[in-house]
Amino acid sequence: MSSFIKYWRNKLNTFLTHGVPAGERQLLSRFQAVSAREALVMMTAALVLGIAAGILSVGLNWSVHALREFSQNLGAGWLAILFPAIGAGLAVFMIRSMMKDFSGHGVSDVITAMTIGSERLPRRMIFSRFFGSLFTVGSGGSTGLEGPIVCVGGAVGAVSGRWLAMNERRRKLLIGYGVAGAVAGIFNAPLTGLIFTLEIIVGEWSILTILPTIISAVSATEISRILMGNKIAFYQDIAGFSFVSLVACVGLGILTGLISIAFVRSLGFWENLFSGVNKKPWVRAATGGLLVGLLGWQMPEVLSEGYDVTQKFLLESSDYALVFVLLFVVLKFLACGITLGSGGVGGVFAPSLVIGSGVGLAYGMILGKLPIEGVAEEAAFSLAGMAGMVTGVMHGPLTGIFLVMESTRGYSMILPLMLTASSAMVISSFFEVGSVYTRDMISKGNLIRRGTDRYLLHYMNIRDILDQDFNTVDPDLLLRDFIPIFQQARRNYFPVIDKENGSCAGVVFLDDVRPYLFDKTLHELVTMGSIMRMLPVIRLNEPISQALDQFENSDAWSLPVEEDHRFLGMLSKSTLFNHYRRELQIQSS
Amino acid sequence: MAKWLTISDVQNLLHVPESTIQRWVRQGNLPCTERAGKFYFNREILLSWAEAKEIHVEKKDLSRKKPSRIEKHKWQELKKAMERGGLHQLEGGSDWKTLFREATGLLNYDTTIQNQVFEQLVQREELSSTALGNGIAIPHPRIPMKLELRESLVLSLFLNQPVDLRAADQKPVYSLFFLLSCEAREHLQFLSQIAKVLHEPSMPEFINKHPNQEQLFEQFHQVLA
Repeated sequence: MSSFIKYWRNKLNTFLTHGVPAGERQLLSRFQAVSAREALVMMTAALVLGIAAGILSVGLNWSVHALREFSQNLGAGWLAILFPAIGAGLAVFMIRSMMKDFSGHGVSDVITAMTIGSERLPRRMIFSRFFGSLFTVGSGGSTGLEGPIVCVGGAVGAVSGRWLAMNERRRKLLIGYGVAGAVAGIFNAPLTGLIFTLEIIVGEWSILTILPTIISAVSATEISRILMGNKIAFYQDIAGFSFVSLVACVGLGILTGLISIAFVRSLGFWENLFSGVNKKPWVRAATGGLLVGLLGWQMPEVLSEGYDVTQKFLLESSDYALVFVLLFVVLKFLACGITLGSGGVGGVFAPSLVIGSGVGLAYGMILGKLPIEGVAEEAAFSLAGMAGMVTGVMHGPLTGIFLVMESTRGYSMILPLMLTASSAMVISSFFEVGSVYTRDMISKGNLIRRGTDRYLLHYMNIRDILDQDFNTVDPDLLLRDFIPIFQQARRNYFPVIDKENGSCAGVVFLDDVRPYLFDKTLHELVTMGSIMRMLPVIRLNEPISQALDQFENSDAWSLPVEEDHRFLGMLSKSTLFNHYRRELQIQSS
Repeated sequence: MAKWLTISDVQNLLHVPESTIQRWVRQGNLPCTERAGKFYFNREILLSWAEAKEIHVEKKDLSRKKPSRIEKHKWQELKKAMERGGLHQLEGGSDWKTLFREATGLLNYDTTIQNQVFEQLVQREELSSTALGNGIAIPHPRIPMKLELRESLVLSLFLNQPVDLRAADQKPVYSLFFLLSCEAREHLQFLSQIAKVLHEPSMPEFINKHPNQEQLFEQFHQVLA
């Protein structure tokens, strides 16, 4: 088996790296041919990944509904309160204790993997997230499947990249393809898969990110249609949308923007609260599950994904009273926060959609009561509210617009969706620096997107670019003995090295000494230690951005670099610039 | 500090040429306002802009001046340093370490710093003699930068009884000029200036007369100016 894999790995590598027959071609077009080969290989890989992600997402969706139906038909009466607790506790116990998966919240793990390294998505994550979300949501936990399935899809991509012995850049591309397949498969929405991946996960638009992602999204969607039928997430029968309502969408956008901020912050609040409950994660999750179970006892609609409620909001909105809708929004808001904050496995996709639909419906109902002519039906606002909420939570207006448009087949609603999403985005980005996935990373300075200054600096290794072609001197060296050293030196600075511990005591600059070099009376009097300059020292393990700050603070052209107080060499601005430029040329596509 | 910054303020803040700043403004990369053909930058907004872009900003005073270059032949700086150090008359006759201890006791610093200076002076002296010859020495610390001195100073010392500083010409030392300067260029300059004056042929005779500070300055002035 392993020799079979090796054979094909080698084949693949040869195909990707060997030259294209030269013939009459110019160098540039030969490189184009090599790039085309790569695109071809990546598209084939995306096809397979799309199919795999499609099967997984359909599988997860189907099993969650089966488990949900099973538990509802159990006839447990009031004991049903305990279901979410059992499910969440079981899920978290399984993930942490059995599968040893200690990472974060799904989508943010994938984004971390995209920026830091694909090894952040190990194989066990495929199983842990799949079954974790199955138990959490299937038992009634108030959250969604999309976050976990994005994680599963990304992990499938990362694992197959490692399996094919691909390089890091291609592995990250494969993660993106896996994510696109997963999202497209679970929503039966190829465009959403594409847009979500590019906007939220990858953040980079190029041939190698767009084309294979399309292939993956298409194949996953097709698989989902073959297995589940061409069902869409939400049906709607909205007749039309008037000008007045379009204006009102700005207000809805502002409203959903504010609520999305509150939602994102409430997650942190609940997390803090639950971290004080118990040390064991599964106990925390079970406690949260119990609270959710109690909420569900009061209003069963808040349990699980809640898509069925949104569906009813869209088609049978007249059945609901305004008070009920408002109460639903509040309780769903709490239930989601508790489920996720207590450590339950799930995403914020579904909760955003469901809360958004409730907010939109309530907004529409209130508008309808006002004496304004030609206001559209409430369900239309419900739809726009979904787009606004998703945008606000994820900081992805395109994702919000395309998700709602595609999952409701509502192209006629594109104008209100766009308007609501963009105004929600304005409000949300006013209060938060990043999306629910990235805000923690940004505040810790961990979000390192490809092609940015931070990315370039992050991957530059100071040790490799140190200058070594200089002479070091002893602090007690006399000026007389310095002259022969200076005569054969190539640089105009001389690091002074402490004999005892090998650290850099300072640097002697030729410019300082030059006027006195041939002053014979000073030859016996001046030692290097008395005429060196103290420079800030760069430590090898500190981030390179800090090293750059030291340059700016000291006006120096080169600074000494030390590791564990041992002098390694000098880092000069000009060398740094050369390498930075080279790095920029390589990394930018 | 002013709320509104002009282009030259921003220039000092970001360390880029004025033309670059003007181009950034034209390209719309810098947040600014235009009034009567001139550009003004809101200080807070500019600082937060730099923070968000991780651009280094000069945190010190906006109108920071670079230290002026010391000119080689002017001796005003040395004169100030000698005034700070003062002229002292001691009995002498002891061994040189005791004398150094006495001399550092004259410094206008607390005892920890006096001890630091003493240690450093002794380390340097043990390395090689700081005596110039003709009974004159310029003791200085081994690594002056390690000392926490506010300003550079030159302490002039005349002795009634000489000390032995193992001078190259074997002559005992009657006068010492303790040089404490924390800046490489300045250290070299002072050292060179003092050495130049003391190498004058008339110098031993002059010093034997135990001149006061004014007379000493006069002598330095004649040689250096």
